[in-house]
Amino acid sequence: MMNKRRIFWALLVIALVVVGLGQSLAQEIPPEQPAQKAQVMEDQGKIIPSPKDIKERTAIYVFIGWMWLSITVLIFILRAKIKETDRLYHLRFFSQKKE
Amino acid sequence: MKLKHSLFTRRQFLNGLLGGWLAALLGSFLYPIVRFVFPPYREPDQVILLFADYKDMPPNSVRTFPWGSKPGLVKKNDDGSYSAFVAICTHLDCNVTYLPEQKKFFCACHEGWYDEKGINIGGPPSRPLRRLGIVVEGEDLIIKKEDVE
Amino acid sequence: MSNGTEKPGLTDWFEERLGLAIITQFLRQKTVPQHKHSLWYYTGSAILLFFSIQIITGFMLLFYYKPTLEKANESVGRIMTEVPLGWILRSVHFWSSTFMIAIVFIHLMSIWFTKSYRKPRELTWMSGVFLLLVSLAFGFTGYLLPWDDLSVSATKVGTDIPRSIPVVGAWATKLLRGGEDVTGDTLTRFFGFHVCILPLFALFLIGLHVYLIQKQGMSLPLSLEKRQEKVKELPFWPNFVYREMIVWLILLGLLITLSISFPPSLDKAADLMAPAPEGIKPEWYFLFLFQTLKIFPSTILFVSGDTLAVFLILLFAILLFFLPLIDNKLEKMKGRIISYIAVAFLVFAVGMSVWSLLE
Repeated sequence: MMNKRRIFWALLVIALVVVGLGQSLAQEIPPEQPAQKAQVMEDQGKIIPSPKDIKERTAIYVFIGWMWLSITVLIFILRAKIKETDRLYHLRFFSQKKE
Repeated sequence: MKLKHSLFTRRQFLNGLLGGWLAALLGSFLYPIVRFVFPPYREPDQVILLFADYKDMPPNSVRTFPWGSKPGLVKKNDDGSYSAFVAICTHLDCNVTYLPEQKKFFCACHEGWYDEKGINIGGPPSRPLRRLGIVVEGEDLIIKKEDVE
Repeated sequence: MSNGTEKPGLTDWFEERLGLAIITQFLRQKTVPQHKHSLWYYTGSAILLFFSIQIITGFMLLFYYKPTLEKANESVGRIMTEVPLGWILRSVHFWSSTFMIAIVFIHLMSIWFTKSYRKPRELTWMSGVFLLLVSLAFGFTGYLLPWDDLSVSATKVGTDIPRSIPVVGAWATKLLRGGEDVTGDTLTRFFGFHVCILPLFALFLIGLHVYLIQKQGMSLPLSLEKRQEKVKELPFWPNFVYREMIVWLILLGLLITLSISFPPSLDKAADLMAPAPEGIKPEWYFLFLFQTLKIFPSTILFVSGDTLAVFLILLFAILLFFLPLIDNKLEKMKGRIISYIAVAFLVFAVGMSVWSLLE
């Protein structure tokens, strides 16, 4: 029983990490040429970084969307954890033994 | 298949979800860092040299040229044709030199030997020298990535 | 975590040799008071978050940055154009410095207002003032490294300021610049400060600061301490840490969004012989000092305006450092005046900064 549980957790964590990495691989599209995001204005010699094309711009939007979605989900989970540990603390669950 | 008992408690589920999703988010942050640390090595598709610099080479001699960040050697063969090699030893990446008297390429690091066609003939190297395509077009001597022959 | 029936695990192997459980036990026992000013408790770890980000992104930039007069600007340009996603990393480093210094100021003001520096926390305050100076020094030295016209000019102005101090001023300027003028030697020197000397100071001071906080526990605002009633306490681990993680996530999200949306640009390499560009401004956290220097007239009563201004600023910094010793009658008039001075300083700093921006 314990082993099945551990296997399940290991698989889930690996799956989430792989999905996370995979999504970011899909999003951060490697540029073909060396001069990627720079628009060098010849007259001033100033380099202003910006996405090279619509593909990169979309990738950036997707990444920011994924990031904020993850942050929202994580905050949601953390609030549940906070409620739980506060409840346990007030029940003096932790006072006698160390976990 | 119906389970008699849950595989895990609600607390374990929440903990696992927190840890897993956090790992995924941090993984997506790690990706740009990894790409940053390992920049792609871009080899040139071709290098264009001035043929005039290489026209008057005596036969059985070499001259160096830059192949990206690696050294390259243009060799004028006995019959007047040109060959081009990447002058990096296939053993442990030292720069090789050409010894015209012996008509062999030599790597001083571990005494590796290649014949005049770049085939490894002695010492530790296990592969021949990498050959590059070489073509004369008008005033230009063009070295190409694809190996000729 | 070993009970007799389980096979000894990896944790136990390390525990037998390192004995670090004492730290985890401490963290579980540590408590954080909960009251209406508890919000300020989050500023400390936020600073550590951004400092860590600076270290990591700094390491990355260090891989490609070349700290010489000839190559500095070009290497930053390469980071922004050739290295994959280099512009994002540089942008994060830039924005994270702004966030960190902003929160350092907020942290300082919150401690000042709550008078948390009172006995026994005087050393914590003093190490904190040093940390403020180190943070500003990080910003100042880092600003020069791209070596474009604006940053070189700002550095010329900034390193000229100590000169107005009599006796030691010229020596201080020479120490900063590595000579009389801002040259390639200045760049190398600033680089050494930025990546080696200042980080070592910072790590030592942070260690001291954090140790003192753990040793003395979290402070209470003066008003609550007097009330004698028991304040609700929350365990640091895991309750408070979960709350801190929420704050970190939001800050991280803001940092990345701003970094990607408003990345810093790079001007061309500085020409040391060219006239000063127009509109030289230091980074935002120096604006109030910059403006203060500007408003002083060139002479006041036989003393140069600059010298007087620098003296006043130094005096203020010294008073700030010794604040816990000065504010020894906390509830009396003296204590209240000091609180009013805190408000006045805040208004002054913000006002001067805004004025400087609008000019």
